[in-house]
Amino acid sequence: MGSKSSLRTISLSSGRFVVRPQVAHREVEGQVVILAPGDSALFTLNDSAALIWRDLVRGCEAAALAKSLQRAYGIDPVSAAKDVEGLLRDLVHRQIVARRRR
Amino acid sequence: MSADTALTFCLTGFPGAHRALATLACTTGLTRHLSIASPDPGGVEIEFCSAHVRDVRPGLIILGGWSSAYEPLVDAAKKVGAGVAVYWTSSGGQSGLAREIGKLAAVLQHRKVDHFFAAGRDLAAAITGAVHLPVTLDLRRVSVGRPPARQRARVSLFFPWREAARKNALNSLLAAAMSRERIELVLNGLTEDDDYRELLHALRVPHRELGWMSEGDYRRALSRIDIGLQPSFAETFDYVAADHLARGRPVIGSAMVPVIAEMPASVRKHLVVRNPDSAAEIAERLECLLTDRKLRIRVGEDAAIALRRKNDRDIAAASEVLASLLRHSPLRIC
Repeated sequence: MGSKSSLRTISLSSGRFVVRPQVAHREVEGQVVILAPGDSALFTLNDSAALIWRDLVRGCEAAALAKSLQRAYGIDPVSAAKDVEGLLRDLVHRQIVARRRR
Repeated sequence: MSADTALTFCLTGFPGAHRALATLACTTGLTRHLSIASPDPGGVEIEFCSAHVRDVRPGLIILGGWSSAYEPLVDAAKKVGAGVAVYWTSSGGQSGLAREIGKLAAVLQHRKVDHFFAAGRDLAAAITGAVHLPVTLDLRRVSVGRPPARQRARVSLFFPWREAARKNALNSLLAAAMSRERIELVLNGLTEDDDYRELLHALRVPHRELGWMSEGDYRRALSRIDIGLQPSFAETFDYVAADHLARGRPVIGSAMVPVIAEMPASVRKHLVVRNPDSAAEIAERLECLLTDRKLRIRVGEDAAIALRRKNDRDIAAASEVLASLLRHSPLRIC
């Protein structure tokens, strides 16, 4: 509960995020497949989430992830930022990524 | 993760093996479980898992049940020098009824499978070289509760209709019909079968169909049950019975249900029917528990304590089996 409520109050639209070291991930046949710690089920990302993921793994900041999404799908900046924030929220909640400390 | 750890894999289509291996990771801390939804050997999941084996280089991989979809995992394990085990969670009788004989033969003849783990003690004893790896339960968040007194006791008959024959549904319904004035049967899928639905109406047994349940719905349903019915003709363990007993709910079962048959004699005498093909005997056991609520509560609570003790022993035994193999894994020796 604590982590959920703190997620609501912390903005995920800025800053840099890193994949946690316990997470196994790889691209298989063009699909990003992730195994989260403490989870037995694999999950795959859809095309747009995979695009964000690749940039995230390269070390891009949240703002750059949104720009990348905006360019690739021709959507407005607000929607792109919202989508990126939603994905990051989910990935943080599943303990797949963490905000990088400055 | 290293040679002293095991990776376990199971197709989600094998729910018993899947739950056993997922739980083993929690209870022993010696394994890491991955579930595989697609049985496609060339699919993304199998490919990811094979690559994961090559990356992690575990001492042992354990496969839940058997499917040819596992072949790439076996090859990946062999490439990194890991041992390969198959965990067979059906008993002999259950394997026969489920027509799993061909798969069993394939595993036993497979040249790359190093270990055959059987959840059933008797099956392990019957197969040369097989090792008994007990099923374990994660009871950390399970507590014993007392259901309120009700005019009609809620009696569960929890299994999907496809399992009805093995689970002895007909005799259970006949037994329930003998006490129909005082019970409500709670089902999870039996009425999906036309014949059983008709029979329930013909026997005029009050019932409630919950259908397929999520994990949360299942736990909530269990908390509202007074007595379970599982007089099966064949079982390896019977998770449903164990889930009831862990919460202090007595379950009437046959001697073929190990989790009930291994209870102390003082509990067993109230729960085990000698002849599961006798609806009258099932009804007699049910009647005793229906008429005496105090007995019902006491038997349930005693069963819950006994189950915890048995589970502690099973976790220790399973840990010992895994640790001994990991200590002797080829990678470790090299």
